[in-house]
Amino acid sequence: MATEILCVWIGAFITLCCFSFLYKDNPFYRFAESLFVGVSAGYYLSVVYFHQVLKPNLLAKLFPTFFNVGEAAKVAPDYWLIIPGFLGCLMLLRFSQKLAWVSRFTVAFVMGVSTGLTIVTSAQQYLIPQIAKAIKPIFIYGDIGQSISNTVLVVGSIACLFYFFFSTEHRGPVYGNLAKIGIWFLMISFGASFGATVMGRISLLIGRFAFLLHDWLHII
Amino acid sequence: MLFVKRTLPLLITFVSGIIMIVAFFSGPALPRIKSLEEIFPQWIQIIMTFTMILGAFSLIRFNFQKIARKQNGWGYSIVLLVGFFGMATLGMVSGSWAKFDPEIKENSTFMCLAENKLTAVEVNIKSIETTKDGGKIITVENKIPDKDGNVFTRKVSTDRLKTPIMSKISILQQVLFEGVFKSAQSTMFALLAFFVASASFRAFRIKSKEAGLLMFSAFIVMLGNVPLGNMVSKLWTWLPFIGKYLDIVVIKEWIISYPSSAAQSAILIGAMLGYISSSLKIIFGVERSHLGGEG
Amino acid sequence: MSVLWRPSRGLFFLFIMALCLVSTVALYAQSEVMPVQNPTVTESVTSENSAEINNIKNAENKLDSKESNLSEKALSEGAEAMASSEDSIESLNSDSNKAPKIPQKPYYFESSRSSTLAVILVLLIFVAYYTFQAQRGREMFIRRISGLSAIEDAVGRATEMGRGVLYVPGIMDMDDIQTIAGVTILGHVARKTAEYDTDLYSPMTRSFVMSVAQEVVKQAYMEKGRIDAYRPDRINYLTDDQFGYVAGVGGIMMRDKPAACFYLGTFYAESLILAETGNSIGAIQIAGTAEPSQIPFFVAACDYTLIGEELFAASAYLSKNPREVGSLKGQDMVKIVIIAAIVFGTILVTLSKTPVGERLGFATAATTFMEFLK
Repeated sequence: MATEILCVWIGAFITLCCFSFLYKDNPFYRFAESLFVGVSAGYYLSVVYFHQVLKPNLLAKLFPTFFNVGEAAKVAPDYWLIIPGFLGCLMLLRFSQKLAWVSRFTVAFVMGVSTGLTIVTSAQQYLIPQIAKAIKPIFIYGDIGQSISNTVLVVGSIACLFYFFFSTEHRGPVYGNLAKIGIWFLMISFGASFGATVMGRISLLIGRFAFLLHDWLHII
Repeated sequence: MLFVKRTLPLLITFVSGIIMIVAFFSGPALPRIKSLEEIFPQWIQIIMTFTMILGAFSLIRFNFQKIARKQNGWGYSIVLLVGFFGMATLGMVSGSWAKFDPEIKENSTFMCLAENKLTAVEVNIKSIETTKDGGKIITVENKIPDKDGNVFTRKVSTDRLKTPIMSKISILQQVLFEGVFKSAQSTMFALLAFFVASASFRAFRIKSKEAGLLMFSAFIVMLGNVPLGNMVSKLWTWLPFIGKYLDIVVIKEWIISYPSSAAQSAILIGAMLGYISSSLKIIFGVERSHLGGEG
Repeated sequence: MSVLWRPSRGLFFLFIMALCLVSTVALYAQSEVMPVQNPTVTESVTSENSAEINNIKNAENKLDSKESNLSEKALSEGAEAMASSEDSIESLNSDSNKAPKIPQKPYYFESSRSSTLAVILVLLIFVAYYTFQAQRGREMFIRRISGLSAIEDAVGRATEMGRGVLYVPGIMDMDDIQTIAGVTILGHVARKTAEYDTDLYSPMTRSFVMSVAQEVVKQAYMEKGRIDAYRPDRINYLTDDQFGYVAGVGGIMMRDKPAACFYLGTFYAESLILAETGNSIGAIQIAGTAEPSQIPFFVAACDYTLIGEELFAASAYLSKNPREVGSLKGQDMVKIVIIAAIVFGTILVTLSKTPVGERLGFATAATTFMEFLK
């Protein structure tokens, strides 16, 4: 029970320290900021990177007898994992002035895999579906409202795409006007995203006040 | 040497990139290549984890230097390092170490952590059940009865059963996690409410036609998200002819589904072209700044 | 041509050849391996159930006649026939289920992903063509992107004010293309700060990005002959946590008061905290992201915002490297192809919704086209 109370009091203190940032930079905020950065970095190093990534995905598979018990300890080691382990170790050569360039092989591999994966996934999961989304019948017999809405969608998509042309200026009767319409659509979209987010952010603030007033002060 | 330092990394990028593309398009008849589609991303996860050592070293060195040179605010560097080493040590120790964890046997005594992991009580192990997926469900009984003399029996998972020392370490880690990490995280997130207000104030000063459109759609969407929007819509129904068409919620939905959706599609199409084009440039070695210089 | 130029062209041709070879082999192998399920099963189903299929056709015909004649009798007959035909389909399915199943042989090419391959190939061809054209000396124009043109002014302003420049390349790791774009632009900004002898601060949220960024900045300072001014400790790691990072960066901004802040990469909720803090210290702010949900906040709080694809155009715009400029032109040509596809698709689906279009087979064409885009 004492630790629960301690936890709430620490939480309330840190909360107030963080809120003080709204006034200006002050020793309380600086204290909370330093502690937060330190604790979160320590948490990611030990819990996330070591216990949740490195141990189950590399160490437990490479040294099952040491990191597992029971049946799992009897599984044959996966020696292929020596490759990422080795490439990971190469990154540590950045500590050396002379051998830092060796880590380039690791960077090259990571970049190759990431970009190769990006090419296919962005084409399949985003590019093609977004093109399909912009294709709608602009005239539906007997439904003027839907026809207008679909026309707005198609024209808006095309006009915004014109805005993203780089090899020509936003000028001229066709291109200039289309790009201008594109900007209008972009602004409407930004406004809509902005408006949709406001309430969510306010509810977060309410949640924090609820912690202070309920969990800490027991007022409400 | 130039080949090893410059061309070989380019070749590695090229080959690994092509393998990923080929793996994506290959069918089940090529199981080895196909499996690389999942294996390589796992590998880069592992590789990136190693660089955390570089990050930790950077953090420690930066703050030690500040302390050593007694730079402005060096005291806060001590706080940061205490937080870092404290959490790293507690996190490392309190995690599962299968080899060193004591075996859970029937009739043995353990400390059982509460669900929030902030308190622990001494329990006796009554029975152990093995689930289908190989996990264990332990039935435990409180060793010390509560104030009313009741002895609780409940089922818990193995990760909540600790030795007395480990239970204290876990509780301390949880206090740091909940009290500092989670609280600070939630508060920083909550600060956004204030920042959204000030950004709205700036955005809604109509300086141009475009800013007016932004304000208009933001206003409609905001209004449509709160009950006030319905009230306004009801008021407008009194207007002749057009009143019934001015339902704020319907207008909001229309803005999100059509003009806003059109712009979002175009942004994503453009961004994806940028993604693919940049990736191709890296694979073909046109863009190579990430590899650094000749040295 | 420089030595460094050769691998890219060689690699490109190698890639095209490999891709063509793989596609050809895959398609050939697929046509050889994938066929046709068990012919005997198909045959038996065809012969045994031809009567049922005829029933279905009859039912459909009757339902058609219902539409034309609006006769209640035809409607009931059609419904009955449909009901019987549904039973027939069920029996047909159950029969075929009972038939011995021969496992489908594995195939080499994932044909369901052929549209992805087509899109990538189109993009590759255009980008490669214009890259080579630019390399051969063809002049290519890039329109003015004010956010990018302002980078030099922003660094200049920081120099004049005797304050530093803060650079944030997003909060994601190096496997994210926006981060890579952010780190590439950091190289350009570092060249400017090296030239003007301005302090560059770049706290990082990912250690891998930190190590790559250190290398990129070091290279930039070396190029400008200012390696003595390079400070690796200013490209330091803070924490991986999104809000821990933003708390740290916010603190740095409040204390060091950089005159120019750059936020270029992937951002989520923290975008507004960064941009508003930068605003409060009076810094000139240039932001860029391809995250549609965060662009509005940057637009509201920053002086210049690179929207979506503009972030990826930055490298070409700043370096004026012909190959990069050429690739940008290639992207524009792909956009024309996409616009053409949208217009073509829209016409097709619009026609398919009209009675005349349906009769002329536009419905099938529209379905096929949309299937391709699935």
